[in-house]
Amino acid sequence: MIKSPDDEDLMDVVERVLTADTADLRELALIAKADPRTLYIGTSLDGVDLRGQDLRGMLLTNLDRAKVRTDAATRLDLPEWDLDDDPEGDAQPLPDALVFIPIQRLWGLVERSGLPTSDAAYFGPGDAAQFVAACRTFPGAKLVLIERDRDRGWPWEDAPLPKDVVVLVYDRKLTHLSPREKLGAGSFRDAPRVLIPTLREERPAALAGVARFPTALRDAIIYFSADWDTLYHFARKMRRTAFLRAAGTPTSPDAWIQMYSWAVTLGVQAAEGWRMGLPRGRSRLREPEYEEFLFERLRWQEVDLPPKTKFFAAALFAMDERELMREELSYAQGVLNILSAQHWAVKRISRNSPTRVPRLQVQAGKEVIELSVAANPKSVNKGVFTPKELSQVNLQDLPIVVTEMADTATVVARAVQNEELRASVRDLVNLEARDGFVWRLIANISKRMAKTGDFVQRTQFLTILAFHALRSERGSAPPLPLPAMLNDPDFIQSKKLRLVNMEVLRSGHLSFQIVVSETYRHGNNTSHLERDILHFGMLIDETGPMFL
Amino acid sequence: MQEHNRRRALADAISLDAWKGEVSAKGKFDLHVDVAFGLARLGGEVEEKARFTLSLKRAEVVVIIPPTEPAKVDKASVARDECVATVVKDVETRQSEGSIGVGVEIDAGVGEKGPKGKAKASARAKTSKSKKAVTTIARQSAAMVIVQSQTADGDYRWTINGAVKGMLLEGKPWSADRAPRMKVVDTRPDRTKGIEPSVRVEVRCLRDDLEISNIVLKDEKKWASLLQSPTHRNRVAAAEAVIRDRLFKAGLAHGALDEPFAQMRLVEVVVGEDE
Repeated sequence: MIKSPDDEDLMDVVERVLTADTADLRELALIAKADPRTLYIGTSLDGVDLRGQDLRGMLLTNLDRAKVRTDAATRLDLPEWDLDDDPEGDAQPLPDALVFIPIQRLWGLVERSGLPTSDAAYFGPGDAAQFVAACRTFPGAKLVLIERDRDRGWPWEDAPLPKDVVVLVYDRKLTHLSPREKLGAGSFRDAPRVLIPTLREERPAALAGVARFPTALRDAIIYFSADWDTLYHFARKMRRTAFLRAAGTPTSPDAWIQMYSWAVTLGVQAAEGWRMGLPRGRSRLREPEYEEFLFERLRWQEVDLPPKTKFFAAALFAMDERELMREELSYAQGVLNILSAQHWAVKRISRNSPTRVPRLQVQAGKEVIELSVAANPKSVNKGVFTPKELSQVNLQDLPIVVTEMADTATVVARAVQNEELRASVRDLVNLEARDGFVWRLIANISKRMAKTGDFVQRTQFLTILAFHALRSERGSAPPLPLPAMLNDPDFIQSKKLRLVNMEVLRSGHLSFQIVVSETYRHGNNTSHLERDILHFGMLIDETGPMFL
Repeated sequence: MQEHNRRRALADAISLDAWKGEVSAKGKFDLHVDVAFGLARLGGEVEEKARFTLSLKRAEVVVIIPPTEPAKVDKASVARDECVATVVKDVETRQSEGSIGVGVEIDAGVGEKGPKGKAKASARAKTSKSKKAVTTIARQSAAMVIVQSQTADGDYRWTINGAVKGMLLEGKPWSADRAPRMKVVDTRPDRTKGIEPSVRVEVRCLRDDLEISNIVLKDEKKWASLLQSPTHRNRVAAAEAVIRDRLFKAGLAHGALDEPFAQMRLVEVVVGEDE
């Protein structure tokens, strides 16, 4: 009907374009016998895939870069009207980083939940050749993401791994790695490798098990993009490094203590490296400056981060063999540093001769506390105990051991075995020299336990606290059904306890509520439903827990 | 491109008519302009392989009196109000049995499908003695916003936008009979001699303003397989661009082809030639 100068029917041209064998906008214009320069004026390109396309010289007036797919190979003119609107030049055509994800599982997460960061160009398992081509001229961060237990090395023989990439090795565990741990297979071993462990306890219980792109990897991409030169050269020189970051919260600004805890678990707390972040003053980090004396060998690098970045303690550690030898002593030193920052004075340091575990005696005012420090104690089998066993635990009488193997299951098991009260350095906060060190420490442990996703262990720990309150003669009477409930030998298997409305009072005491719930079946329904059956308030002060 | 084909393509999307009112003793007459927007469905012929719809997001109605014509605009008479045109659609009448109550008036917001945005419905129900109720529902939609201004050439224009951003133009922005656009004065010294002045009315738009959607191939099997391609959207965008390009080239009125803000003339009528 509508004829062109060469008299071809418009609908025929439309059909030819729609069935064309290419997705390239320039070629599609040529197939329509139109001028590629002007054809797309006024046409919205939302949802179009421009990866690998050179669109220079074409007027794309209705192109919204946020609504199209591009990669490093996409070439666009910066249109004049963009320059006018955008004097800062935000709409740079170059991405911040090229990220290649050859592992199908990880790539599937990207496809499901969207790009982890908006400023990087991502390449999937089938895009090795495009990634290699794009790397040739790209000056910024070039990253390959693999998983420690799924890695089979670089598989493309016709396109060798580019020389100046960094391989990020994601590990779904946080474990102490042997100095001989290889990290990466095949030719990946020639590249600098950065271990990115999952920091399990930071995940809220509600999200545990939901498959999403790992935030630790996303954050590593952000940091490597923000200061590629420094981090690349350090990673290259050290060969194997580990990237850790911690968020902290406004109410407990202990991000660097969290970081220390994870660094000890990995065995890199005494290693050299770079710590990165916003200039002090712009960061939310408060005194004391734990990062200064916990990580003496980290150099400081100021990094301008995107405004949305939530975490503010981040560091790249060298995983150097020689440094691992020093960890036991350095850990004891770290614990001392944290305590002395809170005005505890060291009275004595000794070593138990058989185990050679350092023992510290610290003092503030009249109170003298003894604690042992064990960087890498033996692992402990976790267990499920009866209420009777849990009722016999006296947390305040146990010897304190500071160690990073102090997850909920371990803390509960060691307490029931009447061995020790395990605490992490993360629990050594808000302990300024005041009375009641032990119970303030236990309150901190309780805060940490409240967040765990392991509900059986959480229930056991909170049950121990409830028994302490039952024995206490202070506070309110226990909620009526509770003592009877606790007599049930199946209590742990049949009930769940959780901690809600946690609040640190001005006095430093911790108040919270415990909710008891049980599962039940509704009619013939085979699925289990859950209902709350009891609610009660508790408070932990210097002398122990009580009911409110 | 052949003009009559282009007209056919655009006829359902935009129709334009204009005429003179009665000429007064002083030579003044009302200029009535009747514009209607709608949705054009193209590709109805059997031999055509594809289908698409065409409508407008924005348009300008321009009245042009060439300087050589013996006529001028009565400035005080120009319809200048910035106004929202409402369109009455779908007047439906229902009869129902039973007592509904006397003189009940319901005024409720009724969500209407499509890009029409908010619609208001008022229902009036009255019971007759035989308990038969007649319900009349008239949907009145805020459809278009009209802004009057002058072009760079000094011609009077009315820019018509959808009431909501992205809303397509549909219906008539004003009543041609009741709301003439302006009065024009015939300035000939002797109106019995010479040729009557002629006035041109055009509807113009930018390339962006052409909304081309629902592009499909009529071959359903082929189309279904094309939909599977991850880059299908690229080809649809290109097809859309091809259609827009063709329509635009044929109607190019002002500016160069590579100027993003170049205008095209959708349709024009000349008043006064054959009246």
